[in-house]
Amino acid sequence: MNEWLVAATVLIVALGPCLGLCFAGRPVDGLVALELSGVITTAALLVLAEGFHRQPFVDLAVVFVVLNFAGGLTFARMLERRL
Amino acid sequence: MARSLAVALIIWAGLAGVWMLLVDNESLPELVLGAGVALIATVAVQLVRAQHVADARIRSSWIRRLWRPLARMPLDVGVLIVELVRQLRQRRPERGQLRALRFRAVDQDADGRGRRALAELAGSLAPNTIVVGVDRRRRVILVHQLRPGGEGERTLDPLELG
Amino acid sequence: MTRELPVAILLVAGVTLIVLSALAILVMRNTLDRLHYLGPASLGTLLVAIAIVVEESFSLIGDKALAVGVFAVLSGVVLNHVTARAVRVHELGGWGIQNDEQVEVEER
Repeated sequence: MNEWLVAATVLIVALGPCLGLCFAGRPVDGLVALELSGVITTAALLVLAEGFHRQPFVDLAVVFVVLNFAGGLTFARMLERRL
Repeated sequence: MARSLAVALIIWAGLAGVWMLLVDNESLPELVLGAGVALIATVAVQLVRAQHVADARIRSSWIRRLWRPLARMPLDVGVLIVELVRQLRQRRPERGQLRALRFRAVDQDADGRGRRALAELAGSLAPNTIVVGVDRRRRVILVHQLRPGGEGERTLDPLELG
Repeated sequence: MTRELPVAILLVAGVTLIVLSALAILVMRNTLDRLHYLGPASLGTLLVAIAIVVEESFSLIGDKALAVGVFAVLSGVVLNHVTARAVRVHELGGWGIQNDEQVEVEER
């Protein structure tokens, strides 16, 4: 267990509030929580890549950060149209 | 024609650079594949640009004040942490506030669109301020600040594009 | 040994910003107030990425991590703007100043 894996554990625990807000909040609050959880997951993947010394996790982070952006834009657009 | 080719070449080079960053393999088959993929992506970009869906022009002189919102970023992180502590001590239903600043660049030409897009981007860089939009009818830029304050022009439109 | 301290500082700073942002979205009551904390979280990701670059130098993993960090910050700015607009449209029917809103227009 190195400092990177400790950091990754902390980041994964920090997803809890986002999950809570997704369940308990309104759709607009859920969108904010979703976008934040995407940022947290990206950071967690970076840290896990360094902790495990596995470069493919960085590739996951690269793909995920782009998908989080696209997904956030899509859901924001859907909320505008009250779907 | 020459300008279009130059733009396409710059786009291709940028995309090929992204490929090399992601793949980091200098073998010949990989370079050829990367060049080909970048070419396909460049064609896609040019096809989208040819639709003139959102023509916007950004002039280099407009970004000379970009240091302002960048310098505000760490300061605003401190502001947000202070607001978090205040909210923990005393829960309020709403802390932030909307503010509006006169914004006259409302023309529907490429320059006008570029100004509004850049003002919205730069205005939202520092975390205490989020630009909601430029209301062309009322000629204002509307922002939400978690801790309202600061001179209007410098915080709401840091590049002074309006 | 000389790299361990800056790596530790950057990593702790980045993770702290992200954790505080997660706490803030629970503590804040208003959606737009919550939205502001996407910015510090993205900056925290950038700090984590810089920590990796300091640890690994500009290697493949370092370059990709830095690209991810920078993209996270820039895309976060755009997401903030788009989401703020979407929140107001969803709740009020339009993102502009509503008739019953008291927003004073500041002149330059």
